Amino acid sequence: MHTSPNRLIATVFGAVYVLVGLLGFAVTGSVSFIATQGGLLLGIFEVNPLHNVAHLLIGAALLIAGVSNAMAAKVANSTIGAVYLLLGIVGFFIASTSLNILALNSADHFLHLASAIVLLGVGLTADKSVRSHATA
Amino acid sequence: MSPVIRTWLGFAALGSALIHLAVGATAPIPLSVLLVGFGVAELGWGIATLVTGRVLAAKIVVGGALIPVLIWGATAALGSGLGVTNAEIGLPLYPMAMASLFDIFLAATVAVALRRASNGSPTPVRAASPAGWRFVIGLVVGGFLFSAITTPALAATEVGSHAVPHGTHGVAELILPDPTGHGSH
Repeated sequence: MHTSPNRLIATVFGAVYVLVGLLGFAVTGSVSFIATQGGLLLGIFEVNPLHNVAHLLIGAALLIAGVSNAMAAKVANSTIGAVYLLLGIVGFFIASTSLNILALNSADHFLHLASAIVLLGVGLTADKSVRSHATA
Repeated sequence: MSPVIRTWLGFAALGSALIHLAVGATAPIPLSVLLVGFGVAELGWGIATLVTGRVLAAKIVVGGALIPVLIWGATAALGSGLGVTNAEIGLPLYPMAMASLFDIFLAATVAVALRRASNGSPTPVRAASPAGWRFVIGLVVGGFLFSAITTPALAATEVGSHAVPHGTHGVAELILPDPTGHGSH
């Protein structure tokens, strides 16, 4: 963990997203699964149960990859960062409400874009010499 | 060039690419082609720079990164000269300004690096590798900084106005941008 930026970032971001997912369920207990009116997490972030599940799954994937080894963390970081960025770009061109999630001026959109860029950045630039069996 | 600066160059290219793609998605056709083209090029260059750990095609980037800025400047100047407003040209001010900021940062940083290299400053025997606390902190700060600039810029585009509030996913309704381009504000 001390020498691999990928493991560090994956573990930290993974833990945060798992926490966010769990806390989200605390505020959406009475909200139906794909409701369009969600609960407010920390008074700022609007979430619904579908959202919380997404946060939990992505957070769990990052956390597990982060505590495993550097190659797993590198792959998880790059993949999740890339998929999120690509979904946003596709969303520009079809402007479908279910996919166009990057473009609003709200705190959670900023955090998600920041996560995508950081994950992609660390996945692509760090731990270049790592092998899959390494436990560094 | 330190790994952190190189990573920030990649992030600037990604930010500029996102904005150019978002603006290009609903711009009038000739501008749309140019903006989407440059957006794709910036995206590709940003990813390639992050992956390879080198600044690729530095001499081309110094000039090339400024072309979208010139395109925006030309459309604004010609438009105002001909009495056509910014809204009718189809390029929103704030997003293009932020994308231009990214491109200017890119061009200037690469230009400075090229100058230092040509002045013959001694290159380190082993360049710093992207690891350690300084790199991680620089990466996270860079990610948050470039997102803080990019997200509001995207929000100010036409595609941004079609976005749903976060937490309201699951509504499968297709909203297409106005096919005649700008003009529905």
